Amino acid sequence: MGRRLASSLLTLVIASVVSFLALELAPGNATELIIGGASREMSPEALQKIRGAQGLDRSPVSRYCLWLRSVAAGDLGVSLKTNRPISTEFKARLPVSAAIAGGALCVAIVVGLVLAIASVLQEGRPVDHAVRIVAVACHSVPAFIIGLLLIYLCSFRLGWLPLYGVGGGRGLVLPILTLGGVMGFSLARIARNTLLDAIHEEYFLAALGKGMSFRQALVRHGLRNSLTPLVTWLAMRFAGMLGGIVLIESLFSLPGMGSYILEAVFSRDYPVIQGYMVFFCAVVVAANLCGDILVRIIDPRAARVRIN
Amino acid sequence: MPRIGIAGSLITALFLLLALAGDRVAPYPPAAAHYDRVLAEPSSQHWMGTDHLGRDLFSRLIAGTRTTLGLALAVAAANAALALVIGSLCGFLGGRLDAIVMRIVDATLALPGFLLAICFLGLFGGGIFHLFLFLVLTGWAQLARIIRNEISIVRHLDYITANASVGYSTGRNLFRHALPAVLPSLLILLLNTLVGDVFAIVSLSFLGLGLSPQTPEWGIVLFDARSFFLTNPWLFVFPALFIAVFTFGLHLLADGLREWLDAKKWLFPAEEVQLLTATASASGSDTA
Repeated sequence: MGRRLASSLLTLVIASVVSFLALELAPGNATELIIGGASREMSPEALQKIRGAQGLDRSPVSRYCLWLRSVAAGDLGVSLKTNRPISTEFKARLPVSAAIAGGALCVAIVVGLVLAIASVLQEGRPVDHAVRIVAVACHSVPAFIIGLLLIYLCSFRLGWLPLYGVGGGRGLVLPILTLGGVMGFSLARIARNTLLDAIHEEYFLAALGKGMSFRQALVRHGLRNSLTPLVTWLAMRFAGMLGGIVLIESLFSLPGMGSYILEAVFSRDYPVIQGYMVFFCAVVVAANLCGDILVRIIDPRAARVRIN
Repeated sequence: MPRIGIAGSLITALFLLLALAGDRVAPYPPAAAHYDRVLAEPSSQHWMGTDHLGRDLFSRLIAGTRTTLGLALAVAAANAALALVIGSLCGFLGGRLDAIVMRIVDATLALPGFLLAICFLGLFGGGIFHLFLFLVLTGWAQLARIIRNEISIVRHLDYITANASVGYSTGRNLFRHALPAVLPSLLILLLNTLVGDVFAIVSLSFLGLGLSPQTPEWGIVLFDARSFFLTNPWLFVFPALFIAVFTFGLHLLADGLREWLDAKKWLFPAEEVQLLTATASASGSDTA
């Protein structure tokens, strides 16, 4: 575990250096960024004063340390566009994205496990084939296209759900279903295959031998043993899902983190982009770490096997 | 080769052909606007209808094949080249170099690549070269890791040890004898990452990032459709079909190729290599 923590820490350091350098190397110099296009009309002395006040006359290394200290304290800087602290804006927008992410994960797990068990119980029969076909179809296009299709069908044609916006929580249903559904069907396929492996294991036969029904043995013993690869897979997919959230938020016009980064990109709000980078790198590293810890809790053997 | 592999290679070949010679097949130039036929439904004149500027959707998608596929192939090729050099050196030489580079690979893999690509494009501006650069920067690590793992297994096989004991140089042993052993699995992996690259390009274009909005490209066709797709569903159905058929073809080809190579066991020096290929391709193509 110590090794794992160290590697997470290293990842964070690299992420912070990349984020810091990205802003340093971005076209246009930092003074101009801060005071807008007005720098050309200013006297060199006035420019120098601003540079001093902003700490821009220091060396890059000391600026990095200063920046890192303020980031660690939760201060991500000030948006160039609105002049408001970036962290305040993040706090306002994070709940929407977190709701989508959490909801999508829950939907994915429930849909995935239910369909996996159904596929195993009905192996080779229509249910099994249907799950496979939908999973392949979901896998064949980026998730946002499934979102387009669902908006068209559920919101426009059938009028069940709002076309865009949060709409008192109802607007989140379709985004969550899109992301969670696509992940759920992939998860169902993987879970199905690990479950089918599990039913040939000796412990499974033993459970059957004790008189458990097949379904009971599958849910109590088979499922528990195939949880490890599923958690690993979910942790691996997490970063991809965050990317999917940007697309889904843009598609459904939801005021979350994803649409914020797009606004920042289009208005060249560099500090916001930098803050976003740092924040989500930290989130993903933390999520991966959580996944690892979860795997160790589910299956203590994992701590003993070191895979390189 | 098994039947699915043949079907897959036919589909893939069709798309490659469209990318190469699409302008001869397309009924209209991709940018030709017909203002009298704006948002026309699919008809004998315009097989897939027209968009909001009266441009023929079918022609735009064919022209888009060249952009999307060309860029994805370039990204995949660059990733493969980088990964081959880095992965094989690390796997074959081991030691401190391996340890350091693999920590960098770990870090790169642990970061959200797609989100970073959005941020990079936002900071440094779009354009086809930047898109290419950022997709390579965030994509090489996965391949490098797998190649490194395979090479580090091959390195300990008897024939490599034998080569070294009769005095083959490290370079000759690595590039002439160890590397060819992992090439088949690299090919299968590349087919999977190609899908991921296409998805990333299409997704970024759909967000309006990367390529300029006039470029005919699958994602930009979808981007153009955003304001009209509710009343004119063919504007997203046909691009989606293009992407889906292409992806499906690549997956079939990859599966067929894997079966075919598994049947020809002599191509692999060790069974472990096949095991790695199986796990690697099972986890491939995970973007957005």
